[in-house]
Amino acid sequence: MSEGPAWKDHFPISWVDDHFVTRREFTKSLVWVSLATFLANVVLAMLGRFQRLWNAEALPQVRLATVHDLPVGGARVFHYPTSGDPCLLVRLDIDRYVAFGQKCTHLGCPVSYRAADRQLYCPCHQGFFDAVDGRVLAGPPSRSLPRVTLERRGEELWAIGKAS
Amino acid sequence: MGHRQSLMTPERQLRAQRAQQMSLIYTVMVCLVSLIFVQFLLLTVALEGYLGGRVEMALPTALVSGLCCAAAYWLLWYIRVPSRR
Repeated sequence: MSEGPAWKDHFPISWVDDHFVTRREFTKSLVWVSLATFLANVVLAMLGRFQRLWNAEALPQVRLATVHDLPVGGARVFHYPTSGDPCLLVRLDIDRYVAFGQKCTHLGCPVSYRAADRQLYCPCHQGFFDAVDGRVLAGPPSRSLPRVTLERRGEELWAIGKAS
Repeated sequence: MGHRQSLMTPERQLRAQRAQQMSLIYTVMVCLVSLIFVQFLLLTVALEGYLGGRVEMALPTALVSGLCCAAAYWLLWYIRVPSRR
């Protein structure tokens, strides 16, 4: 029997073992964090794949507006092909319309049209796109804006496709 | 080395063994934290690619992240082995 309080004999605690186990438990939780990070990455990969498959399907044809709805230099937001895909219809000249996806190709912020410069502008990180063809003019985006294919049917404008 | 060990009392031997195991666990912890750091970087790259429409980046980053996760699990398994002996 060791000298000291009786509880130390009744409830012996090895502090070295106790710390040993605690650190091991912490290590185990680190592995759980690693697994969670991996799963998050897998979810992103699967979402991307589903998105690609979704985009590969035939796109619907949607009536956007009549040619008189938009003034020259004006822009209007619409959604194509789904309600989760905002796009921007721009009237460049009297008889010239273009449409692009509104999500910036950098981090997905919505772009807006600047008629004076004929540019599409992303305010989040100062990205600039050419409103004529959607190519990047300045800023962090590395890819052009996806272009929506338009078709004029009499006095109406229709969206009939979208390039990635 | 063997001569020095023979001079050790069983209690000191046990303490020395514990110290070795602790240093092993600390090393494993550092490795795990490094692996998780790399995984967070990969996740950031994948998320940025996904938001920017470059979905093809997500698959390679997921594969490398899986390798990091497997390495982390192996490290955990490695430090569990001594306790079973």
